[in-house]
Amino acid sequence: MRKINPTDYDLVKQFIDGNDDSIDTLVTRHRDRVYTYIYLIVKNHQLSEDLFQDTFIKVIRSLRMGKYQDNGKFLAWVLRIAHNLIIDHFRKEKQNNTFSKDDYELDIFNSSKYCEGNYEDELIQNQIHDDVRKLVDELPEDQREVVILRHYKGLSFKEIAEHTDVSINTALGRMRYALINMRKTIEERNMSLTF
Amino acid sequence: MNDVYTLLNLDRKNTGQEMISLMDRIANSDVFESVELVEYLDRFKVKSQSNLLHRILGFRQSTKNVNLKFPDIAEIALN
Repeated sequence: MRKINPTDYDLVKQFIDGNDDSIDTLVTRHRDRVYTYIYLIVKNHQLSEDLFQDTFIKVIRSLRMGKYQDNGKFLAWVLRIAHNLIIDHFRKEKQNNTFSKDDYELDIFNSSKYCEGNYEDELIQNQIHDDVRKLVDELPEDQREVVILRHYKGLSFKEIAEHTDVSINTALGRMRYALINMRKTIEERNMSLTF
Repeated sequence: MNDVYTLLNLDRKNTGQEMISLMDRIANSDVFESVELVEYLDRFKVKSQSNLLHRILGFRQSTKNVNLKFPDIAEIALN
């Protein structure tokens, strides 16, 4: 019989033992503090949400790999992961001026307009990022997966192919269809994704 | 905690080396375990604009067959 108010350790243990719902409770329990920490540093909701997602995906992966040993400081551990991901983001931001480094995806993603350094246009840029994210979310699952892994996770097509167990050509093809579908939707809805 | 206060009050435009150095210093401290930080986060709570739980579940479901490879960064060696 499960406790009414399980500790973080109880929930971690349940998750490791195969109860996926336990991670939902942990996310819900700590989301405000973790999200607030990220937002107070990056001061941008879209970016904060992406970093929040990355943080908990890393938490989930680390738990599954047995890399967490409870010392009663689960929140501290999660905040540290978030902090390191923010540093990672800032380092990347400092190194790259553009959102994408790949010549393959020229139209939608590979634009200096997505450069984080252009703060005067930040509000418009955020709206465009939101719109692009919504377009991504509407893609068929296999295409959305490739776009997310390529653009939001920074994996190469070779890595995407390995991790999705398909050939590189298939991964490239899915990206191609994803871009075609996104452009089609942009045209149909007469969306403007430029400044 | 002083470094954290400095960091949180820095202008977002300032993402240069100064900010990264400060964040590195914080990463090497034990501030994440402090009650003061938790109280600060509770006092200045910011709500997200979307359902964060849904995002995580959605992502997990859309990539359920994918063994994500993350870059090796500091916290992987935490324990």
